[in-house]
Amino acid sequence: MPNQMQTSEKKCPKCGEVPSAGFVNGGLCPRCLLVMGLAEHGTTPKSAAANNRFEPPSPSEIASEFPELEIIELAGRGGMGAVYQAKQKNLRRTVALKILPPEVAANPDFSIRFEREAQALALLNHPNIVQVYHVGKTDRFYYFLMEYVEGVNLRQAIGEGNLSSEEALTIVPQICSALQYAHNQGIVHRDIKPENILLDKDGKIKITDFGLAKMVNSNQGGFLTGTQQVMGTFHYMAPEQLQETRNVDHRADIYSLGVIFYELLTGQLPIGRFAPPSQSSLADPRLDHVVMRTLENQPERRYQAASEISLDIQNLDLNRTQHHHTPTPTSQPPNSKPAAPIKKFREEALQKVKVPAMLLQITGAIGLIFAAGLLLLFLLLGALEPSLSQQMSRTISQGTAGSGSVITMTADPNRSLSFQGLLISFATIIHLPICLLMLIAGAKMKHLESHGFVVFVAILAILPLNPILTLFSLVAGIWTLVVVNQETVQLAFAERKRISAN
Amino acid sequence: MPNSDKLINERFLTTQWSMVAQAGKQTDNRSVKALQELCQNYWLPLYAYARRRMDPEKAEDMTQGFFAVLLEKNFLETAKQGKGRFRAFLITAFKHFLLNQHDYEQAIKRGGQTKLLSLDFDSANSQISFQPVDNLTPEKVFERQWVLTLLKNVMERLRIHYAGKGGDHLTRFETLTPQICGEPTADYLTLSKQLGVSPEALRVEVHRIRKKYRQTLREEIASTVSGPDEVDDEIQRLFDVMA
Repeated sequence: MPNQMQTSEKKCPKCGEVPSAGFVNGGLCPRCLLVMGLAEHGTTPKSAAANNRFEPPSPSEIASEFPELEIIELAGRGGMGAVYQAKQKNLRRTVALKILPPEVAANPDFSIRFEREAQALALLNHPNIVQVYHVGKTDRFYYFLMEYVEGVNLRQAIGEGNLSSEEALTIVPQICSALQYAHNQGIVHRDIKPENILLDKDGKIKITDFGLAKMVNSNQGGFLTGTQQVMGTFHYMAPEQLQETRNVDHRADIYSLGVIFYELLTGQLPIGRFAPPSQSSLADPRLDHVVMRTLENQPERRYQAASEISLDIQNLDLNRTQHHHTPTPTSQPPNSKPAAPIKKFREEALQKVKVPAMLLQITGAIGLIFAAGLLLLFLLLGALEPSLSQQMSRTISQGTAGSGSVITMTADPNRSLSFQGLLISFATIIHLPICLLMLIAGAKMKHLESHGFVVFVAILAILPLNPILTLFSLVAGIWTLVVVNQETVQLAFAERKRISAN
Repeated sequence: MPNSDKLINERFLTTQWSMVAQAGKQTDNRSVKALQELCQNYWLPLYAYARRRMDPEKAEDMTQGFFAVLLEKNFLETAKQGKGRFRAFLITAFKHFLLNQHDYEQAIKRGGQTKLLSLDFDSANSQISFQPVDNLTPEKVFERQWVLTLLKNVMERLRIHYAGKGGDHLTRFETLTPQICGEPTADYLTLSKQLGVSPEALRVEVHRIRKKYRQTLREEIASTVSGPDEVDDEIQRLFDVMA
């Protein structure tokens, strides 16, 4: 049997106290162990005693009202009711049963709101939203029968203090996806907060209690139960939601998401005049504008759609190794999947560069054929007229001195070059290398390689050096410049560079 | 939930002490058995109390004797009057016992012959180490030892629970035990590598263990008070004891 009492002056890492009676089982602080046992974990013993919340009935007390269910245990409770783990007897399926506090239903408008909203909620079907199977009312309770998610909620996950910013970046896009889906259906959550976001054992997000706030909210706006509940919720509410609860739209959810995003990155709530995440944490500074835009006071200055947030995050995520503050590839959880978004963006960039790259190559190829044709023409003419050969050799020797040689020659009245000579020097000195460069740049661009070189060639292609191919090369050059300067494509080039460097 | 586990839960949900206190009849075998079990689990704090007041040898005799009397004599009648906490009942009854020399003499006689409980005093002595600076009252010693014994019993029940599940459940439980209190500096990455699971799965596992711990602790406390609704109150008192 292990010695229960130790006399060392070791402090408990959780509460910072030296347990006067020693540690239990070699390292557990007795007081912290006791606090963990409280029904309302996280409160101190005294505040728990003073709490005056909805007291959920025990499983056996409600069993008779749900004969089709085997109520296993009380799984959680909050201001908006209690959740039980249950089993549907006929389907042998584990479900979550949520009952609403009786006082919620006391409002005469409630049953109308409940019926109206519940129908819409049951239609929500998304991998990141807890599926509602059934809604109804017994003698005492309004209830929801929902998908059972085995895992923790985001509040618990944050409380453990072990969420990395990489994990935050996998969590937030999933919330965005669920919100966008619901918003498309015209449903606003209105109470997005860590307690309503569940995290299953595969790290997948499931949002629960969609639309419940609207249903439970009284017309006066406040929540009906539990003072603490109201306070906790307010931190996540959009400013317009605090002023006027009835006419808020989906952008209120976007604000709440912003609060969670901020909290995930910094461990703090964005209260008062708050600093951008990167200033109070190790968060990537490029995330600042994304987070700050979700937290704009004016709804119209926020992101207007949840999907825009995840898109912006994905764009940044791709290139994160270059700028990231937080430690490293080595501290990265083995299961996090940065490869997936990178792959996606690479594919997207590859699609984007495909056509301009091809156009660049075609233009280059046509130009080469054209130049070869000119050379051939000259050789034929040279064979007929020997003096031309001399002219050619002179032109070439002058031409090698610089690209301006053609103009110099034509500007000099003493050197009356023939038309053929002009064509030859043009084809050989300017046109031929540019066409070759365009061919090479097209090939590089297809593989997202050598960004700077591609830009240089595109600019060369735009210059009106070739009277015949001007239109082609102009289009190819401009198109290329536009595409390669897009952020995702730039990032894809950078990522490619990083990979080859490694 | 496995059947054996369910049985254990059901047993604890009937709140042993309230069963003892309400039955109040020697003939009720179930309540006798329940009392016996409670005593077996919580004799050590009483012994610690005795050790604070007398030498080890006498303390052993008194403790052994007290339980012999408690379990043999019609003590359930007393228990019936002793509503409230088993903890309070036990210490009050023990004090009365110590005051009553006749009972004590009887107990010594009986204690020599009958051993209803197996009390491992050697192990107990190694567990009760009075600190030199301690000037705690015997009552305080009893209460503190009570909390430590309670928590130890809970951890032991959890260990048995996870051992019963087979596989690597016990290993995981033992590795993750320090996480029960939610140590803020926990290195989940190292732990997840050590156990060969993802950090997400690890978080869920820790959550499950905590949930099971909380449930077990509450059941254990419920078995020593009059009803489940007194559990939070008792936790508050025990918390204050450890201050």
